[in-house]
Amino acid sequence: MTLRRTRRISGLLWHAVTLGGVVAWGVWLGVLVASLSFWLQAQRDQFAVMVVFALDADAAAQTFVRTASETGQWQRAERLSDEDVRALLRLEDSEITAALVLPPVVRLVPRQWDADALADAVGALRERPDVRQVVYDATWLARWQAWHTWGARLAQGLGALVALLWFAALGALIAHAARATAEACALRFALGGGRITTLLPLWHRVWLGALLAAGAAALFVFAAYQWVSPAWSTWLGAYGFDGDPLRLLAHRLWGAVPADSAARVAVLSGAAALLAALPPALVVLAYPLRALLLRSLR
Amino acid sequence: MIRVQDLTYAPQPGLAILAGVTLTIARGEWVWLRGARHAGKSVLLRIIAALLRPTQGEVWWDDVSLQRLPARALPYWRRRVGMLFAEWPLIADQPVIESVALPLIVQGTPRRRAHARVRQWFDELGLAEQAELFPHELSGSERQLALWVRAVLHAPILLLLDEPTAGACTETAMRLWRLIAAAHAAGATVLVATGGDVPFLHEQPVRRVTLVRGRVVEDVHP
Repeated sequence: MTLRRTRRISGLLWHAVTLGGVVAWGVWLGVLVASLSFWLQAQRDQFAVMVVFALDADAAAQTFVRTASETGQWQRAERLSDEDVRALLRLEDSEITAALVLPPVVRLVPRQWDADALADAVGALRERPDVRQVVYDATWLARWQAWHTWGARLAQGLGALVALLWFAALGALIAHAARATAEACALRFALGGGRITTLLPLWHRVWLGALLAAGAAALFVFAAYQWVSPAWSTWLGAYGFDGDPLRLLAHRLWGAVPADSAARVAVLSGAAALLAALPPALVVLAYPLRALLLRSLR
Repeated sequence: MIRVQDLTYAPQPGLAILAGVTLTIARGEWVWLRGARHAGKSVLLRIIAALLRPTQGEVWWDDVSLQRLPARALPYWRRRVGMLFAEWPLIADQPVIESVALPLIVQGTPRRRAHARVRQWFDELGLAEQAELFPHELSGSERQLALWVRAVLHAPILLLLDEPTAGACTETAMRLWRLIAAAHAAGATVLVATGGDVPFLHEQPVRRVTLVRGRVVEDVHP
């Protein structure tokens, strides 16, 4: 293989990996922001209670949903008033309010935290014949407990480190690309370049396009998660899921993941972080490796 | 013909790098701009290349004022000019051939043909093996020769050269001066700026213009 051909192929590979990395970054950023928003939501709803009623969907809809609109097979409902909930659950003194209704599941969020009151309320719910299951959405507690196991702490620490390195590498990469683009642009301008096609080399135009695509991908993923997660995670939440998009994704891809396995969650999150870190890491490594390869061939 | 009319360049109030320079340069003339640092030589070259706008005054190319040309027409002016300025070295991340071929590529010449032209030049100058290297792998002399090729690749009618032998060894510097003399003999108008003396230029049909603090203090025709 001639030097020129090697250079061309390695150059193409470098660009392909770089562009893949940038787009992956956009997707990952979307996931990250979405995860953060759901995590914040989870903090607010940390002691939510999921109640699965022993009713079919139509009956539940008629019972619980005051106004609902059909969106495919899902129904979204307005919040029920406190009076509705009290009447519905026959919990006169409860501090529980309904956050979201998705028949036959009702997600309940205590307005004020009182462990005894909640325990009593949950106990009362479990005794009702029309309630099939009561699930604590103990996401926050599960995560807190996970932090207290050294394995999870290590995994999460490594995940944070990888994420940090990844962002640093990506920042360096973008700075490098911006500098190269600015230099090439200034030089081409001085040499008689006028329009964008003569000012920006093809690959730099592709770069800019990829950055824009990454931004769009981030927005798209974030919007998609916002749209998908409340419905899916609430539904899955009835069967033990905590609404974490990463775990939701894992469920969609590989089947059910037990909700009580904190180690599994940590490993899954770590693996996802590593996978996301791979493309930019390759990019950062590929540049000097390419130069080394070319020099060794010389 | 280039006419520089009462040119002043003051990037800040009270800091005049050029102060009322007037010059007329005939087609095919070779002008040697001399002067110490901050004399204004480099700025004058950049204003003639339409890369800087003067604070006052105008530069005329025949009957056209560069300052009155619409912005979209300026790139076409620059395409007639060959430049060798220190602030535009070879691009660090690309093989030398890519940077050197740029003047033809921005004009729309297909890449393959532009590269072929560069290789032709490099063959003549003994740089054939350096074409695929990166700039940091070249010696100072080789880099300067490559920059020279970039300046003349598109057969410009005006050459603006700022310290064209900077970083080159004595032998290569002499070679570059001979190349410049050959370009001039072939009909190009040449403006070359240097800080120090160049004995070779005393033997050439060169007009010497000396600048001191942005003013022309000496203008000696051959």
